[in-house]
Amino acid sequence: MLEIRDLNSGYGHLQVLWDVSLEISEGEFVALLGPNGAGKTTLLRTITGIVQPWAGEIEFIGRRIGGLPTPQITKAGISFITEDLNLFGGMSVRENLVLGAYAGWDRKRVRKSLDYVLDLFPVLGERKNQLAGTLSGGERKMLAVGRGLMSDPRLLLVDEPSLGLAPMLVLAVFQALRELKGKGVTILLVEQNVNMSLQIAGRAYILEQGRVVLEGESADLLENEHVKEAYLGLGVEEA
Amino acid sequence: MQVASVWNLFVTGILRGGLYALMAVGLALILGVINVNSFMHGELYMIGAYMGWLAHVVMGFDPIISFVFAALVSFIVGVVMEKVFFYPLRRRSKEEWLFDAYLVTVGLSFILQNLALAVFQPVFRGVPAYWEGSIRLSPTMSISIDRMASFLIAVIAIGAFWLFLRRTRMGMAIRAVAEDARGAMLIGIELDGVYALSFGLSSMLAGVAGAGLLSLIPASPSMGSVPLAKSWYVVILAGLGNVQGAIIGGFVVGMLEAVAYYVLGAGWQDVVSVFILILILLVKPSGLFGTEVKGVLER
Repeated sequence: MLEIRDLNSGYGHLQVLWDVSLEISEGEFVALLGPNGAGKTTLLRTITGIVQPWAGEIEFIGRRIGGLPTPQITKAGISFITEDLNLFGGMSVRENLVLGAYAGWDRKRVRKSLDYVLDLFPVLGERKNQLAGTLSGGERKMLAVGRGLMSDPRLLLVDEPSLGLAPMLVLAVFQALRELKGKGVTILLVEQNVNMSLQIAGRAYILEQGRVVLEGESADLLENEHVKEAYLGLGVEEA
Repeated sequence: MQVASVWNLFVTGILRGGLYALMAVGLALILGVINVNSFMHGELYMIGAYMGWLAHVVMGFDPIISFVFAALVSFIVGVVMEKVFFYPLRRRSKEEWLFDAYLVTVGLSFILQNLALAVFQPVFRGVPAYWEGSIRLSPTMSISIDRMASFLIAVIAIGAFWLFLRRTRMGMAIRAVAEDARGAMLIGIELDGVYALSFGLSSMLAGVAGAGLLSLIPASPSMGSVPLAKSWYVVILAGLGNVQGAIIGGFVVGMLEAVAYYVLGAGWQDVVSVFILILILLVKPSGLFGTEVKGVLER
């Protein structure tokens, strides 16, 4: 479904991604892991056209989308839930959600998507008329995911949903992602919380200093020495 | 204070308020959506006034059709100016274009004023009245139909604009861009379209104000400077880029000026309004309805 080949990109003169290749099939839940500054967010930004690719190819459902403007990539069926969420704080929860369906505006479909999202996150229904800016941290994440789902995307990119949340809420957000996976939504999850991500993702890529250093099934990665040592705190020398 | 003078005070205040609100809403829209400090807003008001005159006096159209004509021309002027001047500017430089854009608005203001001087001559172009007669409410209280009509036009224009922003897909897209441009792009909103539309609508509101008030204020090349200053005053008072606040702020300022005029005498109304503006900014630097203020040092 999404195929990235030898992608290079960065900001200004600073190259961040080096020959990154990645592949996601329909219905998969893939995690993109790695330390701070590895280029995970940059990769998502390049896929969605916020950052321009320098070289390499991005193909989505047989169509080259590398370098297209962001709105067109959204219309092609990719929803990006950013780290800072980019919610419309001065608008109501309902308005935020309805706007999520902007790309494919059709009253009947908006209503259907709205019911679907409110069913998935009942708490958003309770807060329907509240301004998005007044929601709690967890609710804001739910709203961002909900808004991302309103366009009925083929692929959902989620950047660090656990960031800045209390452990209880992190659990709730991951629960929601697991549910989405159950409903057949294709997801690429970017996370620093390696253990939890490997629990719900089927496959994962590990990005370090802008390069893919490891990839494979989550179960295998959980057993991998490098992963254990660098990310799971199970290093031998420390023990 | 007599009933009649209170009534006059009220009518004057509300009428001024309607004009200020109409002008300030357009200015707040451009500020909120595109972040451009526009100093040519008064010239769009002037264009609206001339278009109203052209349609009503020269071409002999009905007042209502003249307003629609003025609104349409101002809208087109706004869109064309965005496409011709601001779009290339935005394209060329990513972040620093706002100051350039501000200077362009100042330049355009001079050009438009002198263009109007060349085309329409240094003569006042007005109409004695769109509609004759007045409504007598009591022996001492009356209001001319003409003034009533210009007030109604302001209210209808603001109301329609308000509904557009709240209820329609395009209106919601405009608000979304004002709230978070990146978030708007991520849900599929094309910024170029929203910017052009916002410029057009802002110009249209100013144009309607100019045409609607033609019988009270005749068209002349430099007629825009006072409304420009007032709308900036309202926008600063209400909080930069806050459309809702600009509506309320417009009426507050209108009433304030009318009262100051009555109590202290002619010439004092500007002193009082600026004094109150300073007081409000001392207590609440983001303006009455503003939510956040970015200090000069924080950037």
